[in-house]
Amino acid sequence: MLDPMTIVILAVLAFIITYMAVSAMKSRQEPLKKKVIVTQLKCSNCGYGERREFREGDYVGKEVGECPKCGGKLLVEAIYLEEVEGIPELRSAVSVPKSSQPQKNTGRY
Amino acid sequence: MDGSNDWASTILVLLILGSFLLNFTDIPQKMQLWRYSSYIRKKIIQLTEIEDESKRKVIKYLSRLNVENPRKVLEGFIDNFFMISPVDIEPTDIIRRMRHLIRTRDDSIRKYVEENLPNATLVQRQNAEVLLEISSVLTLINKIVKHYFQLGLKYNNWILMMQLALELQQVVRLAKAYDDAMDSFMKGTPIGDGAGPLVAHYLKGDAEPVEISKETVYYVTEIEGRKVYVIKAKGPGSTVGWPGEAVEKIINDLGRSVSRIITVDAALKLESEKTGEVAYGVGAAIGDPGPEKIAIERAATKYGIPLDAVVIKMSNEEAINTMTKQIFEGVRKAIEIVKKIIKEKVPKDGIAVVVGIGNTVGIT
Ligand SMILES: [Zn+2]
Repeated sequence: MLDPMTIVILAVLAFIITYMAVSAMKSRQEPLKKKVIVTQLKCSNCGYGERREFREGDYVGKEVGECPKCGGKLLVEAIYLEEVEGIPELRSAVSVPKSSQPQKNTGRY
Repeated sequence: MDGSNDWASTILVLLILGSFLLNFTDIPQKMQLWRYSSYIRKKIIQLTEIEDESKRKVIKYLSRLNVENPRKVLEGFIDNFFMISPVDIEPTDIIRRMRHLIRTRDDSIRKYVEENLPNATLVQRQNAEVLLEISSVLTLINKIVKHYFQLGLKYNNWILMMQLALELQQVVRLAKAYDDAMDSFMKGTPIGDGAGPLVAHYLKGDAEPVEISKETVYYVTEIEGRKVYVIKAKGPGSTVGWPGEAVEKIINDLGRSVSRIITVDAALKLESEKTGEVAYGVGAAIGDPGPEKIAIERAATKYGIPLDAVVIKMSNEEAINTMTKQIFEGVRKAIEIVKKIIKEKVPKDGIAVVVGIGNTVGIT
């Protein structure tokens, strides 16, 4: 028969190792989700719309050229951050700031 | 003695010894202190990295604008330009005193940036101001954390250490959010806090801007057949303008003919709320230290004009980073609500004033 003391020590050791392993697994960061800044363009005349990746210098209300359909003013309608899964034409994505993703408190100090 | 008796007495001795150590010595607290302080030390390294990163970003931005000695410009800014709050045990005039102090501070920062970036455009200077401020805030956060950490060590204050360790997760997250926000300002994309100005931008239509206060413009347009004055900060540089003063001026000009003042702003969401939710209520939706908000309230009260508030909800981090799609959809909803308020509560010949509160970076 095993010595009771050895059993107690083994049980405690097993508990500590499991605890550490579980908290180490929890603290592992989730992989980055790809997001991209989208610039949405709209013709002020006919309402023709277009989306592309954000370029430096873009701002909402900026005139970026002529409408390919009617030659009217093409304006920046909106600029926002979007997850890349939904936008196949923008898959050459940039990575996202970590802070905009939920982070779990691992409870380890 | 048989074996079972032997281990029972060993456990008894261990229990007595253990309870003595736990109850009558400082060893557990010392261990806690040691564990928490090593955790805090790790987080301080992280905060220092974030601080250095932010400084690198400012220097990169300034050297792109051909500033001769960007490091010197940055070092001359950090730690300076603090503002001492006005005396509040004697509240007479406190708003005027506070407004005076805030504007003095804003002016001296503007002047500092103007002197050091003489060739930059207005938009570039406004964005540089914000970058310098963020870098300064990150330095301050790091300093405060180190302060409490060192106090805790100095006086063996394990409770302080524990509190700090428990808070730090949130502090580091905020610091990261500020650091990420710098990218938005460097690129000049709209941020979450720009939800208010973006609503104003869509409501104004093709109307032409008229400058009414510092970095603040208004537009006269027609919505649902009513005449509407739309006020927002002047974009696309990073500024919040002086919306309170602008409302005050317009209301003083128009007087009782205004039937409704509607303020639209980003609001901090509760953890259980979703980003981009829109809600409406009564009051001035504006998160300034006081002067601008009270100007709107006073102007509305003076002529008995009802004050509506429409808010778009988001987290702290989202408010200072590039506007997300959820917030943008919230903006769409907010526009519909503003239009509905105008349609239902403003008479056909009445006038409404809509104020888009927030930072207008990336939005004209
Ligand atoms: Zn067109």
